Amino acid sequence: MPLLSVEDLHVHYGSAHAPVRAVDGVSLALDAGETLGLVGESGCGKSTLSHAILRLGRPTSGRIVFEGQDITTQSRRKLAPVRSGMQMIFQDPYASLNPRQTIRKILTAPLHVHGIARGREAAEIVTGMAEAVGLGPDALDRFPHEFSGGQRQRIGIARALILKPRLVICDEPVSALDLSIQAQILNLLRRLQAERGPAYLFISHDLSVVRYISDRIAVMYLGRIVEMAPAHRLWQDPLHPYTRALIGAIPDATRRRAPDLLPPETGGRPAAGCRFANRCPLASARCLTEDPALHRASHGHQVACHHPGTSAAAAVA
Amino acid sequence: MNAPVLDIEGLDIAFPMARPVQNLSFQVGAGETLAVVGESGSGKSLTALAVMGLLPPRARIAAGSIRFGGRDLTGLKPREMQDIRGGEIGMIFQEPMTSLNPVMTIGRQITEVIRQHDGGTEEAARGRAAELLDLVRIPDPVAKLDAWPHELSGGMRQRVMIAMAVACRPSLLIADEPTTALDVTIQAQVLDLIDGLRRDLGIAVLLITHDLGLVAQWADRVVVMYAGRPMEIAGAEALFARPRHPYSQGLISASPRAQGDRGFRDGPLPEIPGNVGSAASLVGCSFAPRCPVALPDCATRRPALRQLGAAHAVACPVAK
Repeated sequence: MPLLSVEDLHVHYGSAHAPVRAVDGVSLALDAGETLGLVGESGCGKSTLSHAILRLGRPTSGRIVFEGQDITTQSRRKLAPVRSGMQMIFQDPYASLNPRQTIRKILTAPLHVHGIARGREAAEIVTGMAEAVGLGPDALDRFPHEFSGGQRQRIGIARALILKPRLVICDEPVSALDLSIQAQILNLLRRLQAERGPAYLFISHDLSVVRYISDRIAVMYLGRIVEMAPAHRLWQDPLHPYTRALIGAIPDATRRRAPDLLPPETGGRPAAGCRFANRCPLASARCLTEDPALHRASHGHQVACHHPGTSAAAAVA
Repeated sequence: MNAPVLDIEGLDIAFPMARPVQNLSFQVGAGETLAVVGESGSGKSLTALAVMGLLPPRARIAAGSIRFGGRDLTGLKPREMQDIRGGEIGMIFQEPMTSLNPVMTIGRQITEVIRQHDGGTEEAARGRAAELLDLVRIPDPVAKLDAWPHELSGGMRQRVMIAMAVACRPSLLIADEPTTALDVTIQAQVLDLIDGLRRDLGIAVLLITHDLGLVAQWADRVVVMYAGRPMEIAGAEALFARPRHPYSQGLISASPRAQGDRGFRDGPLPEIPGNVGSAASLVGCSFAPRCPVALPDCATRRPALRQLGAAHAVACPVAK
C-alpha cells in the first residue's frame, strides 16, 4: 500500500459554469521513504495540488488517501492527528516563521499542539532536532531575523520534521537561496531522509534540482500530470514534447547560444483536445479534438500524449 | 575583446558604514556579452546601478572611474546622466511589471522614450514603436501599441522592456537578472532575443545574474564576484572548462546541474561551507573564511588579480 495516493483529483476555483481548473484530474502515488519530484511552470497547479493533499483547501472531486485513510472530506477535528504525519517546508522560511517567537518556541509549539511532549522531554526533542539540522544550542533563544536565509530554512526544516512526519511536502525549498547555500540545504534534506525516513513530495520549477533529488519525477502542465517516470528515465528518454522543451530550455554550456525554443506562450488552453496543443511542435488534428489520457508507455513510465517520443524533426519530415 | 564600450577601473562603492564594492575593474567590448555573476551581497547589482548613475541616495562612488563613450560617467551631472540612460545605455530589470507604468499603454510608454531622446512627431514615434515591437517579435505589433501592461504575460512584458531599452540604438544594454522572474521556457526565448539584438545591432551586453547556467550558455566573458570583489575574470568557455579560483570551483561543482547522472542516492553534493560573507570587515581575501585551500596569509593580505593567461585573471595566490 502506498503512503499517499491521489486519485483523479480536481480542484476548481471560481464560478461553477466557468471554473478555473487549477488541478484537473491528477492521480499519483507515493511510497514511504520515496522522493517524488513535481515540476512545472508557474500556474501549472503544483502548489494547489500540494495544498489539497495537506487539506488546506477542499478538493472539488477525487480522493486523497494517506496511510490507508481517506482524508478527502474529513472534518478539521478528524484531520488533526493525520496532520502530524504530513508536514510542509516553504519557499520563504522568513514569511512562515513568527518574528516574535524564539526558535525554541517555534520548535516547541508543534509538540504541544499535537500533545507529543511537554516540559523537559519537549526541550530534549527540540535540542536534538536543532542539532540534527545544524543549528547550534545558542540558536534556540534567538529570533528569526537574527538568521541568514539558509539558517532560516534549517529552522523551517526542523519545525517540519520535529513531529516525525511520514510525508514532507517541500514547496520550492531552495529557490530563494544562494547557490552555495542551496547545496547545503539539499544535502541536509538528503541526510534527514536517510536518518528519519520521511517521503518527500519535492515541488520545484527547477528541473535540474528536481532531477538531482528525486527518485521519480512528475511533470505538470495546466492542471494535469503529462509525464511521470523514474528520474534518470525521464531525463534520458523524455516522451512528452513539453518535458523535452523543459529539459531543452535548461541553460547548458554545451549548447552555447542555441536554445530549443517553444513558440511564445499564447495564454490559456485550447477549448478542446490536448492542453499543450497550441504550443506543441507535434500537434496533429487529433490533438485538437481528443484530450490524451495519462497512459503507460513502459514499466514505471507514463505519458499523456498522442505522439509520445516523436522528435519535432521527424514530425516535419 | 573588441575596443571597450565600457571601461570600469578601480571602482569602489561606499555607504556610510560599508564598502560593498571594492577595487573592481573590467571592460565590456563592442558587441560582446559580459556577465557579472555572484550571489547576494556580491555587489553585482550595485555595480550595474553605478554604471547607470542610479545608486541609492546614501551610496557614492568613493574611487575609480567608469568610462563610457569617451567620458567618465562618475563625473557627470544628473541631467547629463539622464540623457545617457535610455539613450546610449539601455536597461532592463528583473521585474517588467514594476518597471512599466500600469496606467499607460505600451505604445505611449515607448513613444515617450523615443521623443525624450530623439524628438520628432508623435506619429513618427508611433511608427518606430511598432517597428520595435516587431523587432522583439511581439505578434501583431500595431494592435499591441494600445494594450495595457496587465494584458500581457510576463514574457511579453519583458519583450516590451527590451523594445524600450533598444529604442534609441544604445551601444550598451545592461540586463540585471532579466529572466529571473520568468519560467524556463520563456527565459530561453528572452535570452535568445537579447542575443539576437547583440548580434544584429552590435550592442554590447552587460548581463548581471546569479545563474551560472545562463552565463555558460550566453556570455562571452565572465566576472565572478564574491562579497564585493572580483575573484576571477575569464572567457566563459575557459571558466567552465577549468575554473581556477577556489570560489568559482566550489560554485560550479555545488550546482545540481553539474552532477550529471549522479542523484542524491549516490552521495551528497559538494558544498561550500559557511555563509555568504560580507567584505566590509575583512582585510584579506573575502572568500578566505570559507576557502578550502586558504593560506595563513589569505586572512590578512588581499590577493590582487593576476593574469594566468592572455584573457584569464584570478585573485588568488593558490590558483594555478
